[in-house]
Amino acid sequence: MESGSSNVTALPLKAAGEAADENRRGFVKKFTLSALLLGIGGSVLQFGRFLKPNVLYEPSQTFKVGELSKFPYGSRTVIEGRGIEIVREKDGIHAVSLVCTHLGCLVKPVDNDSEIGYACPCHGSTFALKGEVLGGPAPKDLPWYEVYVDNSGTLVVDTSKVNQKRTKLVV
Amino acid sequence: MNDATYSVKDAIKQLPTNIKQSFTRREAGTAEQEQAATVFGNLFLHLHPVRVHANALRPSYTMGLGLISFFLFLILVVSGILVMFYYTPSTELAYRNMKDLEFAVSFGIVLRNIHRWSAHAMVAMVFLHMCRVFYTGAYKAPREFNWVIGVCLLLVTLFLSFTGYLLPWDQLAFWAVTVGSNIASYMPWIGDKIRFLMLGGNEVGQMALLRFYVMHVALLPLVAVVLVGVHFWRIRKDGGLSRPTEE
Amino acid sequence: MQLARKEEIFAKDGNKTYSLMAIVEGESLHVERGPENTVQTWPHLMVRELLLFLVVLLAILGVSLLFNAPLEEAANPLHSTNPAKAPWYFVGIQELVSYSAFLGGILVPAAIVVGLLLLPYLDRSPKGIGVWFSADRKLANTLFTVFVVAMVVLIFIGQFLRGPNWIIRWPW
Repeated sequence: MESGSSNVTALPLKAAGEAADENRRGFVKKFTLSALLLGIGGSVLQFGRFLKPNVLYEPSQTFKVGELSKFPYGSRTVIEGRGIEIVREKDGIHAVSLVCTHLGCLVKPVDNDSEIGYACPCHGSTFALKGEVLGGPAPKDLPWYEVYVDNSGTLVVDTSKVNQKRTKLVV
Repeated sequence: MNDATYSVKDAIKQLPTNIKQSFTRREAGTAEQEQAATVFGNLFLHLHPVRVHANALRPSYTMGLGLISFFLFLILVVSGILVMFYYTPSTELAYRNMKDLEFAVSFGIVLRNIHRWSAHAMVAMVFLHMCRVFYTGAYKAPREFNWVIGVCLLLVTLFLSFTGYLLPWDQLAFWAVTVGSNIASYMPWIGDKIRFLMLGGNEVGQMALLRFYVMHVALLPLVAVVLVGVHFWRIRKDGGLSRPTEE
Repeated sequence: MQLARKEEIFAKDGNKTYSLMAIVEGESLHVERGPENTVQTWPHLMVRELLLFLVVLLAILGVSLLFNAPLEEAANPLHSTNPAKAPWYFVGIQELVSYSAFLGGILVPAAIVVGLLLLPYLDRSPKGIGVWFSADRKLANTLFTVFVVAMVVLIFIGQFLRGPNWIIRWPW
């Protein structure tokens, strides 16, 4: 655009300007669209939290199951309505889940069997005395939950914490 | 009609004609015009074209499976709304409401039976309809997208039936939904979260019943109605029912 | 284009009361039907639809008067039914889950849904539209039949052959 530039040189300059303009417009368009999408999408995703209840009207996952003396050595006690069984042996005490890892049925403890400890009535999974899968469709072992004795000498089970190492509580 | 010829007497004389014309939005025509206007002059029927290809009338071609599914859906909507008058989505009351329907409500058991059997029939009919569309190659261009909508409708039908399964709150319902929601939790990474959102908690309880109820009576039927509307509209836009190329 | 070209050949004649409007291709004259073989929607299609509706309604009503919908005892989270089954249309999936959680819970359902959604975009051959079991589509028909038969067999096994403890037994 300096002095002496003819129409011939001006034309491509103008065209280049237009192209730049188009680029700018394209960029602004894309920017606006993505900002809009991000904003709306983000809000919708965040609002999805509305569907996740913050308060559950379910029984607490930490609960007392009774005095230690209620569980003599060598006993297996099913806690009705909680889906767990308290097993006490000479070397300690543990709480095992009775909810089948297959499809959530309640497994039944099997007495007087040297191998099978639990059997699921729904789909025939069987578990060893310590909850390991023996047969059937169950994909995982029955989990053990954390247990502890509170200061009043009562046994407490926390089903929100899985005892991954399967350690027994020695009392 | 201008002012000069207007008279109340005439208006009363022509009352039936005028009311009919205001309703049908047309004057009497030839037989063919009347037939055509019956279809295009009606909000609910105008999804149909005025004339259809003779192939669409062959019962041996479509077996009416799509229509049967739609009719079952209509029956389900009507019987479902009626059953809703006597149903409470509460773990305390739901099962008692079922017993009331059976023993205390006039025709209650018949309505519940209609709703239940139509639901089973609809799942089967939608599946058979899909088989018909496959075996006649009716999903091919230009009808690809309508097939996709159809697959979505199949899924919506399954979810409608599954959410309704819990509502009677009997042993069958409770354990079927426990098993079903645990199948969902086998999905990698998101399975447990989906189960939690679906049930509104860790176990099948009051929140789960309420959620299934809302999805069953409001959300999913709405989705189904919209999708069915698009599905039907696309049949016409895609050139009517599929048919063999003419010799 | 054809119309314009033909008009030059068949020049307009002021004395004639007819003129060529268009030339259409066809092998023979259509007798007693329009060129597109269509019929009026009302009454031909609509009457059939209404009749079908009546048949469906009567069938459902008949079944509902004869058979009661099942209602077991009230839900009890402490005692699972033996066996516990999903609704019949999911029993096939449940049957697969009882072999392998990954197979039945993830792989097969995902493959079915994705496969069905993509089907019309994978099968682009325009052959065999509008004909039942077209001979041009032997492979597609065979594959789909395998899928349908597998679903039906799995549902049948899960629904009728699986007894208490999920053990195979004859239902009668």
